[in-house]
Amino acid sequence: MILSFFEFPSVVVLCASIVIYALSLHFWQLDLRGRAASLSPRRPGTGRALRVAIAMTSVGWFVHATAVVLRGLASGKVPWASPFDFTLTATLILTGLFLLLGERFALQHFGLWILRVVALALGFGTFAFYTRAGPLGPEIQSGWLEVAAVGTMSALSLFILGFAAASAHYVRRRARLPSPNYRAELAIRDDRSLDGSSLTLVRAGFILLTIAMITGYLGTAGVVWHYERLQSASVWMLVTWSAVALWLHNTMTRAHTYSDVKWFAMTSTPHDAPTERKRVK
Amino acid sequence: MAARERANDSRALIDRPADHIDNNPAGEEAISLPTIGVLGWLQWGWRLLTSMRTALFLLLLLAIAAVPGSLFPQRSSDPNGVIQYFRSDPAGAQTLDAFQLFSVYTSVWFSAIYILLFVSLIGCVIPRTRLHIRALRQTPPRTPRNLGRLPAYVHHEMPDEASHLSSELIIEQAARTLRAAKYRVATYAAPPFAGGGPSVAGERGYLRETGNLIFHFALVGILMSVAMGGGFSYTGQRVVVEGQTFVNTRAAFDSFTPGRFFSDDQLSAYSLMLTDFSVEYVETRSSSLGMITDYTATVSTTTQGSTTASRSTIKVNEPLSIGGTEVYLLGNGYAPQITVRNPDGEVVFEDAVAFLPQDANLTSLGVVKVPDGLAAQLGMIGFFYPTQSTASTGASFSVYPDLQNPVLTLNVFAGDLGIDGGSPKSVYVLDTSKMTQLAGGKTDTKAIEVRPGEIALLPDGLGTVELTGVKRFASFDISHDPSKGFVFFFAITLIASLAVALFVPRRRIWVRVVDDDGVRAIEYGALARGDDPGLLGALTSLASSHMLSMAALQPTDETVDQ
Repeated sequence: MILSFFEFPSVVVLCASIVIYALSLHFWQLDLRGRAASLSPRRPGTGRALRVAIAMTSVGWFVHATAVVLRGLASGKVPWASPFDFTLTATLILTGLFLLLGERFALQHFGLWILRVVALALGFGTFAFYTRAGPLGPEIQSGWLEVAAVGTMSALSLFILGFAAASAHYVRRRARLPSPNYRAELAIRDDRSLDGSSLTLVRAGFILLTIAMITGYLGTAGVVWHYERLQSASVWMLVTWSAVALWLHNTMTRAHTYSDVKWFAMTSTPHDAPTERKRVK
Repeated sequence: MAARERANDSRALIDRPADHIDNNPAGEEAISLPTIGVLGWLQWGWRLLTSMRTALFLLLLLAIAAVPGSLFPQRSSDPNGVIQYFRSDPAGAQTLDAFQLFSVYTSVWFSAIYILLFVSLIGCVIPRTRLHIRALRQTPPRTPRNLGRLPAYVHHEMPDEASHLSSELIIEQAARTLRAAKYRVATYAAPPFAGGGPSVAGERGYLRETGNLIFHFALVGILMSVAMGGGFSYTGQRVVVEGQTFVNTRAAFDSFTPGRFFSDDQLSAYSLMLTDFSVEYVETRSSSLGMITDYTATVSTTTQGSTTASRSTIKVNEPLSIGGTEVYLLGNGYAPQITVRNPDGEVVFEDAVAFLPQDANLTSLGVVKVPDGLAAQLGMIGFFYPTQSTASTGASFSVYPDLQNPVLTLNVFAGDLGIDGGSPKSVYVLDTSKMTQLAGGKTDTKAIEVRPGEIALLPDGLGTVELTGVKRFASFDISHDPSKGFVFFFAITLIASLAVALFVPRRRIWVRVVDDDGVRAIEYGALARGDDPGLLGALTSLASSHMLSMAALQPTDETVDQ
């Protein structure tokens, strides 16, 4: 059922969530500055700035989730099929996973970085790709494709978080050099745990990507191959999957140590998620 | 000396993959051999192909090789794009075609990569399975001499409450703790070198390698099923106009692609009549007005042996399963019902002709051929506009895909249709090389324009043409694929085993009591296969639960001592 009435409220609510995210950036920055000033890695979840930052981001997330639900009501489906819908839902999953896993995987150091990515992606997605809410073409009305799309978005989010951890790991190693310029970097928690976080996140992302790929290919069976855009999305899915598989073999066999392949870890995030599943015929 | 010890201790080597760097103790002898002969070269080639490095390289190559498939139009998914490419850049297209870049996924080079990859994968996985089965029956390996060199290491001074316990008892307790943590355990007596005491070795996580192997077998399984299934499968297309019946025989298909091992007996007998084809549009005033939201083909089917027909519906993503085949709804369009009469009023042609859609608003192009019954053979190229509108240039076009203002225009040709010789010609193409144009185009006569129910005169007094009505047609893709169940089974296995292979850690832990000039201490060391973020944490928690268990042990031991 399509309730077009909700389209405009959805945009208004979305703008509100972007504003809240943007405001939370200030506190994430305060938190980072506090860590750098004390130079002793604090226990996670203690600083006041951090508590405010997490609270504000959580409020922003609920507002953002409301926007996604309204958008879903306005178009009568899970929003995933246009570049705008994809950005909207993928950033929701990314922020949600960040809030959920932040403490456990030592990700709170890069709250500033993640929230910047989220706020910029949402802002850019809204102004550059905005698409009116509407129904899907008959060829992509499939529950399997919905599973594949949500799987891809979750995998993408985990890869972005893994990328953040891998980058921080690299920065932290560089900061071992005795130089006063690296105060902020030294505030990043012990690099062994970041190393492990990145690996676990990418592994989980890989499983989700595998599920997404299988449901995307097999669930739609013959249909996919008759639609050119779907085919090109599938090809890029295969390319990304192979790249991550390759990287996992490297870490599992110690053919290279993890830090040797960190650049690969950072660059193997899937840039070409199937965002182009528009109506074709 | 150290090397000989290692070579003699076969247990340390046995569960490593065959291509492990340490697994070639005879390396020096191999260098001294001058020639290796044909068999040797074959063996060398096989080893090279089945090494993991090669497999990974092939995987990367496969990913890169798949990219052109998304950059150039592919015959499988976008045949019109390929034709367009040939038209706009014939020389470039010919070069690309020579490299099979318009059919990447069936090209020689792409096939070569994935066949090599799978041979490599099988060659890699089978020896590993053998090693793994052997490893499953083995006791955990002897404690290494220097535990401090392992990636995770904990050293404990002997706690007071354990100081009176014998080293053997401490190790026995460690073995119990390890067993409780699901480790497979072996205890070893004190080694002959100084300072070494009794020790225990524990290993866990064999499931990781099991999952890993099952994952790779499932991967091979999916590919094998697809390949084998391809041999016994068939796929065919057929255009069916509303009211028409399709019977599942080879001759009834418009196009048919059988697998290598296909025989006509495989076609199960059934018939399928398209009773209705309906399209749902967005009809509310919104940005997506006129957008299609659903196609529904209602069919009535009869299978062999049954006398009653059953009704079912087919949608784009909801194929119909019948007689071992899946019937997919692929395309659709309009089929104007055209009747041609000779000057005496006798019907010489009467059919619903499928017109192929040319754009989103279903401006459709079709060909009518009237071989007999008129003074000359007649051919007509028709344009059908479901909702006709006229541009400022005078050209007609369709503004909406539904039938709001349907108009059919016909360009008329007379002469030789070129079908008398009996050679097959496409029903969608009119060969005008031996025909003269009578109406439309550059001729003085205007193209014939008819609406439903209207009759128009053919030029030169040839007769009349009537548009009696407009029906819809659906094009179905009918395919039989026996591998489906297998592929589904392997896909589920693949995902489950992948989770096991990635998240079950494989760990070895050793505990030893060391005696340094009468001062005893306990050493814990751990080793993981591959990167294991939780290794140190697991070792520390094991060490502390060992300590705790010894404290609990104390009273009972004292009573035993007394």
